[in-house]
Amino acid sequence: MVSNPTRPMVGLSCKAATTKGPDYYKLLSVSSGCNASGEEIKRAYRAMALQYHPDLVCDPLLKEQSTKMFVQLNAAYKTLSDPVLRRQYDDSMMGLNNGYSYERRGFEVDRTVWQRQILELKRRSACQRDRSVSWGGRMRARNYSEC
Amino acid sequence: MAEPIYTVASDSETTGEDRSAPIFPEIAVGIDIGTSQCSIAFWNGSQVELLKNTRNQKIMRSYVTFKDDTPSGGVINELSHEYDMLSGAAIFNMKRLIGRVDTDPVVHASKSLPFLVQTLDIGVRPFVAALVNNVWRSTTPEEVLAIFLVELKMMAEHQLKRPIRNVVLTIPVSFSRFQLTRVERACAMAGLQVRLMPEPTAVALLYAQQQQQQAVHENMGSGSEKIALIFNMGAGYCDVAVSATGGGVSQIKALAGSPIGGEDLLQNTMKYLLPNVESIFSHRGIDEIRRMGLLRVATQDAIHKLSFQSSVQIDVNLGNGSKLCKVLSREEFEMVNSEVFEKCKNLVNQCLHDARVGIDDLSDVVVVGGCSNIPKIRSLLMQKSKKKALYEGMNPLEAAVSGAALEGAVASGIADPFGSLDLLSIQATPLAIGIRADGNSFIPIIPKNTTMPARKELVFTTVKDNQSEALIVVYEGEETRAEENHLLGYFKIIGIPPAPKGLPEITICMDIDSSNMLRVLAGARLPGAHHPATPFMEVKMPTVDDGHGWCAEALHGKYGAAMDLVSLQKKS
Repeated sequence: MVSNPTRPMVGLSCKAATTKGPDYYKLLSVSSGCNASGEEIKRAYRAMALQYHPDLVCDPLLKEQSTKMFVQLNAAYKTLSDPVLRRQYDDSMMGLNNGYSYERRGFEVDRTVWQRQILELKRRSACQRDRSVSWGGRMRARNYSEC
Repeated sequence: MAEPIYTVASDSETTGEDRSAPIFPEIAVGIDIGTSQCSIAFWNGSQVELLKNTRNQKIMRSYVTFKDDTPSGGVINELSHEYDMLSGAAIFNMKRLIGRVDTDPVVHASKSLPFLVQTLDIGVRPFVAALVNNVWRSTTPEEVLAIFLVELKMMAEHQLKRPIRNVVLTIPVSFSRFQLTRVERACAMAGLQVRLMPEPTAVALLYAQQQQQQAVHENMGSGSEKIALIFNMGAGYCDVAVSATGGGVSQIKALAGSPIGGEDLLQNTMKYLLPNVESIFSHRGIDEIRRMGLLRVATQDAIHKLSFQSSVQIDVNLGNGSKLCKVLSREEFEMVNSEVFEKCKNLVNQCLHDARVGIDDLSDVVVVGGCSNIPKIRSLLMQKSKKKALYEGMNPLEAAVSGAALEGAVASGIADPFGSLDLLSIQATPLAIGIRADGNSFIPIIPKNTTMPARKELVFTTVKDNQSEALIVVYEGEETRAEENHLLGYFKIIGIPPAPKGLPEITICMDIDSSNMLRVLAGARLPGAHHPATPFMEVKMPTVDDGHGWCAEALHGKYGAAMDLVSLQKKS
């Protein structure tokens, strides 16, 4: 089963759909992990969607990243909101809990969490930038960007 | 201006021109252009409000009258009476024809309209024309749509005292991406930047807002998740959606739609009242158009009355000495249209099935649109959902446009102090998107009802030894045979390294971004190689233009199976 380890598709960043890596519970920020109830998972997904859905990200520079993030959230939610897929996923995560695979998984988790933190920081700095500049400055920036 | 720029990915550069400016620098208005009626709504700072025209109408008629050289639409144009549409100079029902070719059954069904719709059945756009001073003046659905949009835009600019550049326009679920490009073209003609939103998802967003406000009002926090079945049937289209709503977030679980609507009910009833209706009006002279219009107006009127009474007397003088005198009962009307109602039921069944939702899970059943008053429609939905009552919280004719205005306000990034705009609509793909492979099969890559934005990929391989090229033909739809789906475009990848058949890995990745743009990426490599043999091709879809319905056939005729692909069975 483990004989065919993750083979990245070179040149394409579709990894979220193909790798077995990320910890979906952490991705959705479900604190109680695999003990979480269905309702908790739904709630967590909605909260994360309100934060990362690209429609709610006004800065065009962050849209691309939030889109990637949201696609990952959906993959996580699709698995965890389906009782059968969730059990399979939980089992596979238990099974992978050793040696090489474990480290890989740990890396993936770190990477997604790290990505999310970066995105959140950028989002905040974008908001602050908006707030700290004067009204005139904002208008000038807007006119500038429309040219 | 020394802000760091974070974009590093090369794929954003190719589409940079679309993203450089924020999509909604100001609040977008919502527009609903239906097959027979249109309306416009905006966020007034605390709630959604519909604009009225100079005749104090919130719901205006979707038609354009051609007089001399200047067309004028139903928004501004003062028509004294319904019968003005009998001259052949008024064009309507264009939402049913936009982006369709003359082999489409929907176009054929439009031939009984009181103006000219001519088909040659060769896969090009139909010839549509209005009779102006005894001359046929040709037009296109896009032109007619653009006229409505310009009129609605002018009206809104006048009343809101600001330029309108951004709109959220509602569209039927069953529209293909090719049809969407035609709608976008009409918007561009009207000088508008548009975001398209399937009608029932706009209704779902309005529902989400109402539920959220109720939850806040009753101090229940974000409340638990509610599943709603939304049924929207107008003159031209029937759309169904299942949404999961909670905390102001409306997630679309499934969509289903079909070009059936009030127009079909009308035509079936006309045929029932006057069985030889088609032969009577086959000549398209000014008299035929007039009589066709008279019958249409009288039948329409009768159908409206049948929503509130059990039978109706029809009395109409069709000229030429022929007169139609008949009593039409509700039972007869329902019998004549049983097929339409059956189709509605099937759409609901399909949508519930696709959403994997049981009838007991449904919190509410929302029925909106011009057909929502028809008793048979209401009873059908109550029966299906085993509910004693349908959702009462919204005006059935204003729901879609109100939802669109909400989406406009949300996407503009404005905040509401009372939290009325803490909303989100999570959309799903209404149709599957894939390519032709495994012979003549349609292989979906992004399945139907996938949450958007989405990104998915599949791996294919060659059918011949040393095959160096592969043809990627992209389709959208639900049929298993490729050519029965909507063709979106095609391109070939070249430079596949020589290898026995079945060995090269050809990866096809499809990407729908937050502005609903579809890109197809394709590349080939040999197993074990770390780099693709050719640079990845990235193509925005759709690429086909008008009159290219026969392209897939021509490609097949020229190349046969020489550039075919088959899906690669992954060895586990």
